[in-house]
Amino acid sequence: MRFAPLMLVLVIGATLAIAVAGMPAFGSSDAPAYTHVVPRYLENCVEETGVGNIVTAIVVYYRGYDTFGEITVIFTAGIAVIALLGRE
Amino acid sequence: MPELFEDVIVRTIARLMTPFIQLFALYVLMHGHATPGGGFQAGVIIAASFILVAIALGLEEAKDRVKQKVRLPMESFGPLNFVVVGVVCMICGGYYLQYTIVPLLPSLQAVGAVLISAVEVGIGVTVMAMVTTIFFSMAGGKHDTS
Repeated sequence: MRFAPLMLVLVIGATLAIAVAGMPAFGSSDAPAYTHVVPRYLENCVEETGVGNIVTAIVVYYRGYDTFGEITVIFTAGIAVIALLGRE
Repeated sequence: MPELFEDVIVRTIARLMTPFIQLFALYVLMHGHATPGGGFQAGVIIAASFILVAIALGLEEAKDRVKQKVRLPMESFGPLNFVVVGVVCMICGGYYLQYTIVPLLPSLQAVGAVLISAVEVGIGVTVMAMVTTIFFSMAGGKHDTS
């Protein structure tokens, strides 16, 4: 039983090492992550949003709800710190 | 209370660099729509300048520069600004956060750029106030290191 955790780690590690071979090449433009919506963003970003920085366009325009959630998370974190540690 | 870092070089450099760090943060914020950067990054850079002041010149000096009375409204400005912009888009007939529908400027792209920048400014203000407040709250606790 002593070697059970070691065997488990080795089996999982070997599985992951084999699975790596099936992943797309590093930086490949044919990877599934780059073929779904990214071409549409790249083509229509400036006409649709008016900003040249596509990262900003995605963060604030296409993913506006997500950014609103992020800013709410920061706001909540600050409120929690003020509530727990008290006013300065 | 720990002793202040009494080194004339550190104190002078910190005092000199603070305005330049804040100027760089404003640049990152206002060019967020054209170059890498944006509200989150700019807010953290400004907060870093206040943390530098707190470390080099003392916590009281830093709290004096950005008072709690000023920080508390700033903390809620970002989410509120976001909601107001989103609801304005809905009033103008679009979806929530569909910036380009607002008939503010003649060009659709200009409206998008202006409103996205407005949202980024709100994000920057909130992140700056929040990171500063969290640092001050944790640094200002009672020290019991006997």
